[in-house]
Amino acid sequence: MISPASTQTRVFVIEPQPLLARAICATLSAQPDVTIAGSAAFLDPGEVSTAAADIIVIDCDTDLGMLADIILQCRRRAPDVRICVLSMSLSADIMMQAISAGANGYIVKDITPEALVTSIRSLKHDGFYADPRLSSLMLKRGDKRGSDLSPRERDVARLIGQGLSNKEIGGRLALSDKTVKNHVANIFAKLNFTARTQVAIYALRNGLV
Amino acid sequence: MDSCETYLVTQPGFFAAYLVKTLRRAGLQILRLNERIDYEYVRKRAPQVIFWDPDYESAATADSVRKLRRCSPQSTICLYTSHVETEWARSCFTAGANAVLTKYASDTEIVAGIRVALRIGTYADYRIGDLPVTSA
Repeated sequence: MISPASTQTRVFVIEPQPLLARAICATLSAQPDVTIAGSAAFLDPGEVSTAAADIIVIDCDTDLGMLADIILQCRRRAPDVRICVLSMSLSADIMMQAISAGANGYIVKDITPEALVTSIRSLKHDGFYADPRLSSLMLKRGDKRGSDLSPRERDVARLIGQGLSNKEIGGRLALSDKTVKNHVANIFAKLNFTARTQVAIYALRNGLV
Repeated sequence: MDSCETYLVTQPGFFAAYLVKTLRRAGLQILRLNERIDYEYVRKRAPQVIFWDPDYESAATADSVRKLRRCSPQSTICLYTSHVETEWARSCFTAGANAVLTKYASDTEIVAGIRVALRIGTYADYRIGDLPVTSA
């Protein structure tokens, strides 16, 4: 897990295209606060667990259908790792698929080197990142329904936006785990979301955080 | 090797910057980078090399290659693709492409492949399959 006090972010890259892998590693390793923990053409769960990465960057273009399984395998080996999906598509649908599969971030291959670095830093500090060109599209539905959230649900959404787990939210608001889960389920239903990352982006964009 | 004036067509961004460095190693001098093919530019400039990374590979790719060939008959046309499909590659060669390089190749292979295409006029990455062209 990324420690708030840690100054280094360890990134593991899963990218089958050698040139693209080198471009990612070269761009990130040029930053003083980023270390490349390793890279692989395909997922090797053993490598993921030994790399002790804070963030895994995964290319989803080769096999989008397997993305959920790949993310699940990464999380089994490194439960607290943040997963950033890399795609050539500026597509809200693919971004939704990635986030629903458990990704914490979504970036598009046409971003500048500076934006790539920003995305990694945002994943470290905020726990999520979505391409700004897509996050606004994704939130249109949520914005229309946001006023339906109860004050307590808005509190929970705000704390999700701060990257807290259900247990931590329960501690902050003096609620049981079960009650927090119910609030989270209600937020998902009201905003028509399927992932905490969407709630986090919603909270950020709507000034809750 | 003398530098070859090259028109690069690819998605801009951090990867394009790295790709340019690799192409320079192969002796290519990038004249211009566009996200989409500017046929008028190709017609006027007739670059020695056209290095094209198509967005979405399909039957239409061969049509675009044919159009490029008409615009600039002497250019060496290189396709850079993640689409490893023999028949698709064959259709591109038939349409006038000189080289099909895949994104699963290392930078050393890319450089070697471009040099082969420039030297003998044709190159296909071995991953694409059985094609009547030479691999580096």
